[in-house]
Amino acid sequence: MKDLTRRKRLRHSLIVLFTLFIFSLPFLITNNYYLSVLVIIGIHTTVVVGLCLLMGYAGQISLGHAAFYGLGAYASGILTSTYGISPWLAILAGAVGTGLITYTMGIPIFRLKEHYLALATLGLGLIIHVIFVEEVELTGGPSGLSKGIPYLSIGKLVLNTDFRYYFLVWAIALAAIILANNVVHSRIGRALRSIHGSEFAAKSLGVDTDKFKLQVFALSAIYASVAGSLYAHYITFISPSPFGLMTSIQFVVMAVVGGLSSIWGPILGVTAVTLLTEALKSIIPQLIPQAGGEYEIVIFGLILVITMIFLPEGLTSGLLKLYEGWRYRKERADEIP
Amino acid sequence: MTLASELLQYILSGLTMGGIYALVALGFVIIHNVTGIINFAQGEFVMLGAMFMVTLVGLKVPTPLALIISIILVMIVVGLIEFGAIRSARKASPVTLVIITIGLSTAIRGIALLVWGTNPYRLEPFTKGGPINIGGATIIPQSLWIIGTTVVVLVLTYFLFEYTYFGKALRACMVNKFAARLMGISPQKMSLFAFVFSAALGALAGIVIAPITYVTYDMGLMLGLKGFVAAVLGGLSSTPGAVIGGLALGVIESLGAGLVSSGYKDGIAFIILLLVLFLKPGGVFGTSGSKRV
Amino acid sequence: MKFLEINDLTKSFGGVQAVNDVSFSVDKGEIVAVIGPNGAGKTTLFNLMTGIYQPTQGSVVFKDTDVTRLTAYQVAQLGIARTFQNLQIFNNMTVLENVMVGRHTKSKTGFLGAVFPLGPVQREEREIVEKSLDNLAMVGLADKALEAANSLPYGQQKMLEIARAVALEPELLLLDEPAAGLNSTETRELVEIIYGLRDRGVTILLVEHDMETVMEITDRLVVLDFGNKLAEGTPYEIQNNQEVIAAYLGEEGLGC
Repeated sequence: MKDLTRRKRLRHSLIVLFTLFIFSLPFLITNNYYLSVLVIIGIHTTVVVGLCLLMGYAGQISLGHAAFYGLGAYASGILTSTYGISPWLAILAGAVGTGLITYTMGIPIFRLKEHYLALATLGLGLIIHVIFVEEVELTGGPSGLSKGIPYLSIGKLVLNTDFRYYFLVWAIALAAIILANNVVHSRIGRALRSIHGSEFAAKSLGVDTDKFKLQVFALSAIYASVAGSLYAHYITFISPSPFGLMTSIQFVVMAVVGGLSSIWGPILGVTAVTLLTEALKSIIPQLIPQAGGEYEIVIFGLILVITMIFLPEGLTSGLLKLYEGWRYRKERADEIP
Repeated sequence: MTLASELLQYILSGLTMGGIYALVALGFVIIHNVTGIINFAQGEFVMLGAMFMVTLVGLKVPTPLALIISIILVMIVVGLIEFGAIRSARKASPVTLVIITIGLSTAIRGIALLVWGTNPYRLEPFTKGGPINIGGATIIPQSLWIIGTTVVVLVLTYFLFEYTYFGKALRACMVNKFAARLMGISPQKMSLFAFVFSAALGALAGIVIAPITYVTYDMGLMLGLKGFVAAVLGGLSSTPGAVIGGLALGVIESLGAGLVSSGYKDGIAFIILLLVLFLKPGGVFGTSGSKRV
Repeated sequence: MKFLEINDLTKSFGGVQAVNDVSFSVDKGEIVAVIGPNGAGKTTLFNLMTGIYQPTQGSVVFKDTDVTRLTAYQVAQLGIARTFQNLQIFNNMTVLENVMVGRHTKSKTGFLGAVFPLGPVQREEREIVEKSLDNLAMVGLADKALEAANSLPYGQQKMLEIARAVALEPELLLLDEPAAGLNSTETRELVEIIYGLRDRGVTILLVEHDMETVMEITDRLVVLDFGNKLAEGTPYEIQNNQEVIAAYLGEEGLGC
């Protein structure tokens, strides 16, 4: 019991430390470009935390998360710009709507297994994406929403700079992490992990596995939706292109690179992948002057393949293993005088 | 045009695309049956086939020779990939393997982008001549080439599986991998063979479709997915199922695009997919046997 | 009313009758064993009773409730717990967490409660931990609570599975070969645990090959052979039943 409390405390103090670190960053980094990268990392982290809940804890893959991200973005964009509804209400409406859609669609989808499930989520994502492109009157079609999306504001404070927006985005990302952490360490979280451990035994202990898979699917879609809303109010313009299959794959890559079985995985994965992509964008033109942004996509695929082959459990556990190995060698060295 | 001839028109163009889907689906099924992997890079084989073909024809290589060289080149590339990436991850979980093939597909597409750029290429039809009139509907000669190729390939595949050692070994692996190994069939060799064979099917699909579409670095994405849908419609483990699934998907898609809305063409394929999965989770032609515990 | 009634239960797998027209009943508080040679259909019987398989024919009635068509988790919610012949430990969790999953049906935190754990949720969580530690203490694993479940040796994993099933506070506990793979000390511990559970009012139905243990602890036995019920009776009756002896000849003696 005592050990358990200690573990919990350690977990909590890690989160507090990390929060302090995150909120002190914008005072140290004054470069707007870096700050904007960090804002995007925060938004993507929110999506990937949800995806990790689904993949790491319920053991279900989703290749449709970019579309749920898009649902949030379009809900915010359309409701605020076309109908003049308060942005905060629009975010809420997007989240509730996405939750309802994914929950209802999830009922038949989660009767499926493995490959079929992956394909069904992919199909759902593509259908939603086609709707973004085709419903021109509502969404503006391929060229995007014609009217500008307003910035978010808190009271009189308009969040129109990277510096201001950073705090909102990361407050939500951290809330997403903390809430996900709560889920993981709850009755529901254990039920979800038990599905992963042995679905057979989980059922025989009275766990209604289908119900929980469905709920966590809807929750992770809601995460994506909120992140999408934040994206829309940050960029203030949306078109269908960021919500296609490639983005869904990108989210899976981030989740997998970070590692699925720790709440720190998403941050690490998103940061590693985003920084690498950004770094390549600036380094490669210097090495090969005639190259455009094309290298990004190659590297992206290669990272995925290499991670999966050499670090199948992701960076987090890869790093942990390195650390444990180092500590083990150090202890051995300490023992032998 | 009367409704009847209009319908015939849709069915004919549907069968043309359906033939392509069937070839891609067949590749999926063969790899899945032999290795258990869902190969998301299947569509890229199609793109590579088309790209090599366009390049070779551009270099004034005669069409039949270019066709053969293109197929062989894709087989070599895929063989190397199987050897390098798939083999080292043999013990990974199914989800990991899916992610690996997604990564491979992304990487191949990226490399194609570097080599061939973003501009679309065009390939001249194999034979010249105007559209042919059939019962009020028209069909271009290249469509006949596609349908013909599909039929020939299916017949060849059938004979390969029925009458050659490799085919029999592949089938043995499909039915029971463990027993196949006991019989001295190396699953590694079979995995390589399955990939290379699927590569040839994909490349051929890409080559025959090239004249009726734009050849771009990202053409494989949708073709691959549609092929996957076709394979699933057919039950994912049945080769005749894959072919029927492909043709059915092509026709339904074409009818849907013509009668409902062409913008929703890609959506239709996936709506059908979801409906089929929901109503019959094992695929239309699949057997949904219960697992023993 | 009978506590548990199995009526004409039949299951065929593509023409093979794994269980054929088996009927028997169990009273509350009994310890009953199902024995039989390999392939007699014992585990299939358990799978039919717990909703893993649907029977081709027949019914399972538990405390006047027909559970035949219920799914596995619904059966568990009625108070029937089980262990598995091939261990089904949650390898991705600690020992304690494994048992905590066992208390799933005895707790009720929902999704909202999980996301926002307020006072009542935390109280329930503490209760789950305490009760689970009690269950672990019962099988002698309390000091291993925070270790990874897959780091335990085989025997202890079997005990863990029992603790996890008991955490469900079942009225009926199905044990599928609990003694298989245990050494003699561990088997003695197992027998004590089973007696302890019986004293707490848990009815126990077990499949077991270790005849010595079976004959010692059970009140009654049901003998299956090729899916058919061959005999039913007290250990003494079974040991002297000619048919049973014949069925076991060529496999193993009755070991007493």
